[in-house]
Amino acid sequence: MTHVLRLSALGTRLDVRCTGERADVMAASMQVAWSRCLVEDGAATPPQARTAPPVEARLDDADDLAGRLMLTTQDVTRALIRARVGTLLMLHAGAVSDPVTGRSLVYVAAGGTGKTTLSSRLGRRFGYLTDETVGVDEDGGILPYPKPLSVRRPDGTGPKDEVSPDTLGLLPAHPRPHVARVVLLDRQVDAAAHGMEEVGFMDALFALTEQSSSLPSLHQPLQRLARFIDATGPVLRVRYAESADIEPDLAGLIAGAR
Amino acid sequence: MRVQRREPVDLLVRDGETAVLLADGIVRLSELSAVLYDLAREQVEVEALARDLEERFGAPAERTSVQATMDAVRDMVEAGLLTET
Repeated sequence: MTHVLRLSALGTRLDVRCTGERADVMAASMQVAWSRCLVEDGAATPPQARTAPPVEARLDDADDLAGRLMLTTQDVTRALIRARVGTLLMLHAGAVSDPVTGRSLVYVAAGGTGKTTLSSRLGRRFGYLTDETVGVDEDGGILPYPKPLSVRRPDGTGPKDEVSPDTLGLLPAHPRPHVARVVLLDRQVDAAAHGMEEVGFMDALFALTEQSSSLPSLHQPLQRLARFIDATGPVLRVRYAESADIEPDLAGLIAGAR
Repeated sequence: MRVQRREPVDLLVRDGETAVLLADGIVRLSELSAVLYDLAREQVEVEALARDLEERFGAPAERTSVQATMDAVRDMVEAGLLTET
């Protein structure tokens, strides 16, 4: 039997079709992990929403559940990004928002360099938007992608665990979050001190381009990225070893300091 | 040797620096390279480029203009900005 979960993220509707011998287990786990993206039965599709082709999540052996959940997250992310090519500025980044003002901090980094850890920390104080892909519209509004956080296991082996932001106690996002500041994460585990420094316009343009998805498909992409930097800059580079060290500075940026 | 530029997806000039976005990456150009890239909108001989660059920037110190231009052209071909025609 096929179980269908209807998701909404990045301003896009997408169905996940859970199939296989243990489709029931897959669907139940998906319900929990994707709690922030679920669309209730009968909910109308917003007029601006895109629709992505469905994703299949097949599970035949319950022992494979963690791996299948991780792969499904990757499949969903790719499908959502494909659906928004040419419309959204999409950055490999995490983001959180002030629950009252909607001012949001976007922290840009390549995979495996601290976005999820920082999201799980900041998200207890600010609204969780995503730990993976930030989609920004022409006006600087963020289309949330509050996916499950892909958490590495303590021993570093096996698939990452897909953990719902609700399970982690992360706050919900502001209804209309917008980009207030952008930082480039530079995590160095042996860094003696942490700190922030301004990044020149061109260096920021290159750094953001390298951490973007399908940028060339946008209309006049560099002009759009330049407007984005001008509106939210200067972009800052944050050097740190432990996310706890930089939390006060990042909270200050969301509040409007600096 | 004749070259022509690959058309950019987009190009941005800010504070004397130029960024060129190609379908497969982004490249930063110096002032001289940006002029060279602009001059190569149509097919052009390297010798003609060298003359034009020498008029604008003066002769290079330790090489001929053609040698210097050829080196710059080769770098830009390698970066995917120019193609040999």
